[in-house]
Amino acid sequence: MQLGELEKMVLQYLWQHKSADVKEVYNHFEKIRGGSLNTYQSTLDRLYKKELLSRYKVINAYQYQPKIGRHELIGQLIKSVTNDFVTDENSLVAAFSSISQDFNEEQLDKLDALIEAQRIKLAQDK
Amino acid sequence: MIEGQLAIWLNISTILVLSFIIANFSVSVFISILAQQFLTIQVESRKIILWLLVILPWLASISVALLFLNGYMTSTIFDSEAEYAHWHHMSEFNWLSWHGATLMIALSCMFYLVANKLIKLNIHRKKLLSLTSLSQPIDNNIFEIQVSNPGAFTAGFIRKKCFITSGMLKEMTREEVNVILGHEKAHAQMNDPLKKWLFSVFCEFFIPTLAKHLKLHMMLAMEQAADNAVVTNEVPSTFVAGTLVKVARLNANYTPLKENELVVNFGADILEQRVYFLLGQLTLKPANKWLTALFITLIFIGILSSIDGVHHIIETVFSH
Repeated sequence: MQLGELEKMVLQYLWQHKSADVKEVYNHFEKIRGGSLNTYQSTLDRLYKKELLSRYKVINAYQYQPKIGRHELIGQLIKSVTNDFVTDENSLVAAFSSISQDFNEEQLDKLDALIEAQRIKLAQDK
Repeated sequence: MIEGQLAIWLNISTILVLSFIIANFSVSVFISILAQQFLTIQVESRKIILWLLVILPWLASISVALLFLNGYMTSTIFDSEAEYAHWHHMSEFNWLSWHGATLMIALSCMFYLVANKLIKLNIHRKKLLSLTSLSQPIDNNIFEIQVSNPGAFTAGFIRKKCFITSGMLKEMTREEVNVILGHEKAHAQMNDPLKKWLFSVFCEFFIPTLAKHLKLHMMLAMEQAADNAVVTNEVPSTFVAGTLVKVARLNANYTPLKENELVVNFGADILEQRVYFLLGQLTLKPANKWLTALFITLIFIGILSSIDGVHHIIETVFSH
């Protein structure tokens, strides 16, 4: 699922305004970047088909709402992309912090003390 | 009943499957006994050894199958049943026999594993595209993800992209961010996302516990290599180690500690190994080439000497 520039802008608008129909979206963006009503209608349709928006009919027009919040969506994507290599072989990333989540304070303090000792030792050697 | 050239190829495929099972079992026993010793080997040698271990069952079984094929074509090892390794009725193959069943099960498993991996790969590709779309480019192939949780990672096979969260950028100093991005760029340069995936494909053919151990060792080796790539005259190893611990501390604040003891110990072992490695407190040796060559030869001889026995044991129960 790739998002185009306009899709990202419309999604951002709906994240801020919670709910809008195509005319409201058009009125907002027409002043900023132009485009026709149809452009925004098809953008909203695409976002709906990508399951990022939900919609319901009010009289003759659809009212669009984000199906998922921005942070929630990004959080889900990060989790999905970075699933741990060891617990989930689906992971295809190499992460600086991938293996440092299962630690307690005591263990980290011990490592910090070790690093500090090494630092002092290296400074004395110079 | 299939006869002729096709039967020979199908029998060779069954030999390949049996050889693979024997080689896989032998390598698994070796890994189970000596897995801890891998930690004493230098990083680059360790990576090679790990690749060799996951590829060895394939290499050995293909070599044995080719040897059988060559033997059949040149009639050297099929003249007599008293020969070192032989196979009965090479030019006859029946799908309703254990030969046929073995081949069908192996093909089904192979198809399932490969299809499963490719589907997951496709899902990952789509999610990565979405994440890239929602991120802010801050440098060449470096993206900022606007979330408060600290994190940084590299993904992508051909176009490798490094991601860092705004939470990480906020909590770390400029020097620490440079270390983190340097580490991620090193992963990208070494093609680690692709290598990790390929390695996990080969690991699929081992029992899950063993596969997990192998992947863990490979992950540690890759992380150590990337950590090492950041160390320069200006950036001492103690600073890189300190950054690593600081990130671990931040992650601990955001992520509830897992209760699974096994997972906690693995995590602890790996972070400690990375820090000890950076501080030069590990005595790592290069892999012994002669021992490695001896091991490969033993696996090869082991398959050749046992395939006939395995064949006979199976045929005490099943018909061919």
